Amino acid sequence: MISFALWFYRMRLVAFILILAGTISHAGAKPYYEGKTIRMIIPLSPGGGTDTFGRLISRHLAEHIPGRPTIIAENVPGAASLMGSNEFAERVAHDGLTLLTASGQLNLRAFLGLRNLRLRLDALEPIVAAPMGHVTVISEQAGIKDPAKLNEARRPLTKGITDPIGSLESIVALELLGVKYRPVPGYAGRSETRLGLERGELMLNTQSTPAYLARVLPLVKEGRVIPLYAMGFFDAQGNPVRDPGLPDMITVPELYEKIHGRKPSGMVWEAFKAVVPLVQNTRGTIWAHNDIPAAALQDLRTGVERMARDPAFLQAGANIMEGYPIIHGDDLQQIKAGMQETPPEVIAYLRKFLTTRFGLAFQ
Amino acid sequence: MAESFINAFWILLDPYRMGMLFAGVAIGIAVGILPGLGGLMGMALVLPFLFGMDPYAGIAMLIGISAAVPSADTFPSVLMGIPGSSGSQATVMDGYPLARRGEAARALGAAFASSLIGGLIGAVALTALVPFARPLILAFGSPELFMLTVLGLSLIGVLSGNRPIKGMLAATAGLALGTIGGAPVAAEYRFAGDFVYLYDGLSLVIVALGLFALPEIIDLLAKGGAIAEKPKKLGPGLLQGMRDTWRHKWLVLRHSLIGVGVGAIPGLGSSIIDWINYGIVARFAKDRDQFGRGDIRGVIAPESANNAKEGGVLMPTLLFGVPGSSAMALLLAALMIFGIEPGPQLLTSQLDMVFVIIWSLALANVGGALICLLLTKPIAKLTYVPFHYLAPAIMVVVVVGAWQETHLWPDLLCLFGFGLLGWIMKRVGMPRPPLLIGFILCPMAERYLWMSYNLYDWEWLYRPGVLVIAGLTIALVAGGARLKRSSGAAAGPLQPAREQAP
Amino acid sequence: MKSRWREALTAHLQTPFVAGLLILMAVMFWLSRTFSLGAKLFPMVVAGAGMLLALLELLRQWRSRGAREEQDFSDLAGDDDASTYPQGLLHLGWVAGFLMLFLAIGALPATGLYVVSFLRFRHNVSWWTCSGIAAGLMLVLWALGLVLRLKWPAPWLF
Repeated sequence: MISFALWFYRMRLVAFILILAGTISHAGAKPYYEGKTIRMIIPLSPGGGTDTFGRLISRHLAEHIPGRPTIIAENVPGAASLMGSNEFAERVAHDGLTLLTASGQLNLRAFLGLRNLRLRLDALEPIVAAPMGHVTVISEQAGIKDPAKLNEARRPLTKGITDPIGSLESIVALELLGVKYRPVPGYAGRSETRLGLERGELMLNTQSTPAYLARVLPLVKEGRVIPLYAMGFFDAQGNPVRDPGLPDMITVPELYEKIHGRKPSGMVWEAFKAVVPLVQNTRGTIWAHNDIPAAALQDLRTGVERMARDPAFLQAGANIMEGYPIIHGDDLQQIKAGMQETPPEVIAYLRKFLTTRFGLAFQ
Repeated sequence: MAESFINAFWILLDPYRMGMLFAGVAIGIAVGILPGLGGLMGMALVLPFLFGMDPYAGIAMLIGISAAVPSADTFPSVLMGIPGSSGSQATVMDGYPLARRGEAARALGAAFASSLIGGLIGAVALTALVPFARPLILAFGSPELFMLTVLGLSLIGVLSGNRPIKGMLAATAGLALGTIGGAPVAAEYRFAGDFVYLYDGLSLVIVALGLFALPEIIDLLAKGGAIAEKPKKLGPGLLQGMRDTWRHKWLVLRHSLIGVGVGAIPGLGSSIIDWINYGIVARFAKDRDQFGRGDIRGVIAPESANNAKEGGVLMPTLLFGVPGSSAMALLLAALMIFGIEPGPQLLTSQLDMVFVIIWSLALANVGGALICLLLTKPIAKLTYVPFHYLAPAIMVVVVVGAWQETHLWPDLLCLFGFGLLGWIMKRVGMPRPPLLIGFILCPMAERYLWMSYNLYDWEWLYRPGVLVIAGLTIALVAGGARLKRSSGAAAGPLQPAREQAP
Repeated sequence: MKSRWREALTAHLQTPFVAGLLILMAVMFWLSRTFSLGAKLFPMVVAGAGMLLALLELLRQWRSRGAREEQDFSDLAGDDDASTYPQGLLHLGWVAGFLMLFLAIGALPATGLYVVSFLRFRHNVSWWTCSGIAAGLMLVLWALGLVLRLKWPAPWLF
């Protein structure tokens, strides 16, 4: 009995020494990123919302990652983000020293598996994201005053699109609501479609919420444009919620209920639920490969947590985030989980829709 | 409003801000002189530094870059026949022959004087027009834009000289090359197979450099000698050029206004502006024999226009948030970083920023042009150096410029390919400018044609704007044909440039 | 004898060139049929116009017996003589060589090597001068690379 107590005592002593040793060695261990340089690939030309977001993160995240690495933003434009994304997916080492800034459109392209895009979202881990709501308006020349009467328009409503995936969330919303619309492709960007709306050549128009507030709201006040609905967001449990930037505006699911008298359901609704969270982060998502060393991933996450609380970052980012907080931590995991849970039939539906209607090619 | 105007000048006069403005001008000159780099690259360089910078200083620097590039990129155009950036292509047509005649300093002097005045006119026009520009910009929809590309295509007539069929064939080849890559209105990547490199189409910089720069270098090396064929006294050249600009001041005014006007129309891009101006001056001038052989007007017109256009492209950028050129997209990003929202409210709530932009434009144009004038004498002397000393350096610079576009080796392959094509076209007698114009205009023509049809079915043909521009195009084509026939009957056999007295 | 060959090969270059364009336009027309309507219309119209113009040009050449058209301003062409072709092809070869070197051993070494070999072997410039020019150019390029943050290609050979 005495020997047992002695043995027990010795075991605890040994355990204590081991823990002590472990703590000391960990405290003395160098952070993974010390003295290293991270390359941030931005697969777009300089000068766009996502590019600016990527540069903002490059500038501020570096100071908060343990080890204080340098982050250098590099534009790798070409082929609608294909060039930079393929480089990130295939030609860089998976050592945590390269990150990718993706726009919501790129997320969607990767999610749907566009042909020749080698980026696979299930091989990636999101680090931080910036959300952006969207609002759809209609020109008063269409003669519709009440959003609930939208699908009673006499002639097809022209809607400017930049490219089908770029405008996918608004197209799916229109499909869901059963509106007769006539897509007019060829616009170079969202601001050009807004110009088309002002000229009176486009009836329907979707803008990001900040752009709506800054540039379309004056037209609403003049009575030339009528707001229809906000795209809305989905919360962590998957329930539709209103756009925090426009809490008074009705969202697509609510409008559906108003028109049809019941909650939305069916394949198009499933597609809507799949597409919107991915595109919600239109401003930008920062991705890392998911097989980088665990220490690297941990340090990146720590850096993001600290950055999100840094007043200097919040102040510098205020103009770029335009009122939306960045998404990090658990909320971000929610988005990834939602993506992975999307049933394959929904993806097949979206692909078929895009192929028959717009001629896109998938893998 | 007047007090904002003066107030803005005092804001800008702060030493730090002026310093940033001139740093921008210096960067713009460096980036302009090296062919292939372009203002967009210069602005992208300073973008990271804008975070946390004083907004006025940051914007002044960006405007400094964008204003200095169209001035400085005249150097490679005139001296070597290398289109410097997308703004200075047409200057090659008459500037380079002048350099070959030994009058490089004169051409450069005229160019910089025109740039200076043109840039100032651009700034003044911006000030005067910006309150009224909204309805004018809104008036140009897809149908009008399509007609403008047709107008641009009619320039091919001017640029084909007495070889209309070859010229049109070259233009069609340019249009064909422009179709490679993503289709504007369908999700199809044409003629690209699985080469992701071709998905964006061919790059304008590479096509222009290959088509114009390489053949000139090779032919000059083959011939031997220096760029300037006859030694001439350099001294009066520069002043002579400035006097020429003054003599043609109405031309400067006219083309600056055209430059501002065309620049203000969003959706045309800035590459086509100097070709349009060259075409107009060549078409409507009295006594057109010397165009293409070294008529100083062929330098003055495009150069005034491409500096004035900087004032023009700011209008849709500031009023609508729609970039008037690719460099303006960067300006928009900078405005976003500084929390400035483009839109009509700029004129009421942020008027001092608007005027800071205008003053920066004016000062940068003056400063940039003056610095270039100072550099003219030493740089123009290079035209007397035997060319084989210069050729490797020029070749290296061209290749480096081509490489900076995307850092992909197929770019260099394309550069060589177009160089070979350009050289063969010279031998065969096919004019090259129409190919370039077809290439530039193709995406716009296709895009706006489809959009017009999708928006309006066939009613777009009856729109008043469309009819006006169509009338203008017919006048341009028909008027030219008439002039040519009458001058062709009167003139004797054409003589090559070298034998005529300058 | 050699000059007669050269004459024969190059005098009527315009005809095979235009014929080549005709074939390329036809190929383009043929390939476009598989595209969707929005993507095929424009290329087919352009290719059709191109084929028509190429035929017109060939007709014109046949009627004027392949004479070269009067030189005018529209393409900055100079006068060609017997040496233009071989010299031109030679210098094109040098350009190709430089491009390959650029990719193979990197920008700065390729510059140095190219400048030195070109000046020395083609134009017999003294070693001192060409090394001087090469060194100067490499220095300028390196400095510009720093200031303008240019990116150099990763050399293929090492």
